[in-house]
Amino acid sequence: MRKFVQTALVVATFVFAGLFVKAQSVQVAKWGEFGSKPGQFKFPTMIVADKASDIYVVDQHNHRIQKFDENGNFILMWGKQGSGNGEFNYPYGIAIDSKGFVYISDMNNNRIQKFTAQGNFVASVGSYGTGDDQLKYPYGVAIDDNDVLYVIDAFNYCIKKFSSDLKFLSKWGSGESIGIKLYMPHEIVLTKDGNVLLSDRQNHRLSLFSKEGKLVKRFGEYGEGKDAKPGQFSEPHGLAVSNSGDIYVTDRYNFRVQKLGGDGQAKMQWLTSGIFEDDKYFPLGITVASDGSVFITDHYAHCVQKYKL
Amino acid sequence: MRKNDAIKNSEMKLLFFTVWLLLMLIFYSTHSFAQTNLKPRKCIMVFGAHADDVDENAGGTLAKYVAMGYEGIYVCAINNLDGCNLERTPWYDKGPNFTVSNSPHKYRVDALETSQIREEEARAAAAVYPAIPVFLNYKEPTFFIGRKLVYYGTEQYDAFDPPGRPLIPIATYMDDEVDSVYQLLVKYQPEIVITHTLGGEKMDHGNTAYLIYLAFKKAMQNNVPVGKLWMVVNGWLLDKDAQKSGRGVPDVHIDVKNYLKTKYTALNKHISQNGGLGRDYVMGNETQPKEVIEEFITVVDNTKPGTKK
Repeated sequence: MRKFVQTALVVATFVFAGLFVKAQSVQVAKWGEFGSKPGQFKFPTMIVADKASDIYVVDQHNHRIQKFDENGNFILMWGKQGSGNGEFNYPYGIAIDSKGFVYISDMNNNRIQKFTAQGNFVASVGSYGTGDDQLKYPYGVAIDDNDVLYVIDAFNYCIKKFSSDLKFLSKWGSGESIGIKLYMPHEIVLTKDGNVLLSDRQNHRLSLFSKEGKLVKRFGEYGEGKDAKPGQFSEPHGLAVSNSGDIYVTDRYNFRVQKLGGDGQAKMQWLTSGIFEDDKYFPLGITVASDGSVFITDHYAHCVQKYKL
Repeated sequence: MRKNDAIKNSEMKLLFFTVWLLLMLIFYSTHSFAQTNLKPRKCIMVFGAHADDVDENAGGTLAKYVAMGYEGIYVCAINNLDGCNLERTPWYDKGPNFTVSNSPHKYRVDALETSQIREEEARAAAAVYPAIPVFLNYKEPTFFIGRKLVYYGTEQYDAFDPPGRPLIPIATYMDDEVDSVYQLLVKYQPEIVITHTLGGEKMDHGNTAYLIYLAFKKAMQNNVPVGKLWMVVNGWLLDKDAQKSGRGVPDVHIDVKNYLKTKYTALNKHISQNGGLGRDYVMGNETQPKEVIEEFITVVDNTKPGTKK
């Protein structure tokens, strides 16, 4: 019996490894370079695709949002540095609701701004502080099926929930430093089964919570370099979930994207830069379009890359 | 006739003396608050270059004066884009619930995040005394983008275009920048101002001191009631030969024995600097003999009549 189990395990390992190795991704488009013209970027952060597969990129150091079609053709952009409506001060995260409204975490203005798909300002919430309607450096944002907005309120050490008209709903997290046992969570995404997944970056792992903030499980461990195994991470940052429920993670100091099943098991991976050079490349934001195409931002290379799996 | 002349003569002398007295009064009232009712407020302002320099340099003195009823102002000059290592925390090895990382390496945190973290730590430290936190937001000359150290003057520094006012050394040449510190002195009219040593230590520390010195002198010239400018004894001033020469010998000795607990509590708020284990982590468990007395050099004493403006 023991021998049978051992043999089965070995076979299963080879089958799994074979699947992993066979999985391929092909880069089908790449656009952007350093600069401030349309289609150029300065340290892009998060990225999101809408229902039509148009792509919105947070162009952080240009203090603006750029919108492209799925092939990288520039459509429009909005924003400049400032604190007025429609202006940004180092924006960070982005999410789109079911009606196509765009939500941006305007990080150093300590607020969330809501826009139409054309970039017209709709509303905002937040100022620096500890109140329910206040934020201290919001990072990632996400939208659930009911158009509830989730915000990582980084230095109030909590996740805040707002309605689509930016009314405060609730929050979770102890409010104390590292109170939710996370360390510098940066990105947030809703999984297919309705849980909240956070990239627990400095812990080199992902943490899954219920919508009410109950810890479901953690997965991932530290592993870096060419020998890093699937399921190991070095500062996982960007998150996305596909229609089929697979989870995509930018594993930024392994210069790769990892695709995991909804259960957290590694399915495949690919290098985004082809080489390990930490002063040239830096995969950060990630999104999956409805046709399964994967888009990432490279924070250092100031570009967007599109992959077909 | 001679008698009348003598009376007239003495009247003239009296008139002359009265006019002279009035002129002198006007002169002194406009040139030194020490001769008038204008007096500094019971306020102590401590200027640190970075977030924890206030506590390091004069935390005990600040605590003592606040306890005596002085208003405490905790000023952080530079926006701390550099110098944050998240993995140095007290929870570093406390098991899976609090594991911060199983990485064998410790990496700096990105520039914008570092600035946010250290500002929050400074606010928490200021609240310990309690003192009013003020952030002057001058740029740091180095910072990290990912794991890459970026220096001022390089193409990458300019490309990143970090937030903040000019570098401190440059600010000392700019009237507007000196004026912004001067306006703080106008606002608080402090009896005691403490900062780093002029030219005594790191460039940004020494230049912070120079900026404060320039603003202090401007306050004096404009008859703003500021009291004494103290500088920490540090750098070359601690050199034995320099001490022998009579330079670098402190003339202010503040016994802070009863305020060390407050000072250390404040220091412990700078988790990114000392792992949350505070000074014990950095300096060992025993109180250092020098810490019981905080010492300063009086650089300017505007409370003395006839102090040169």
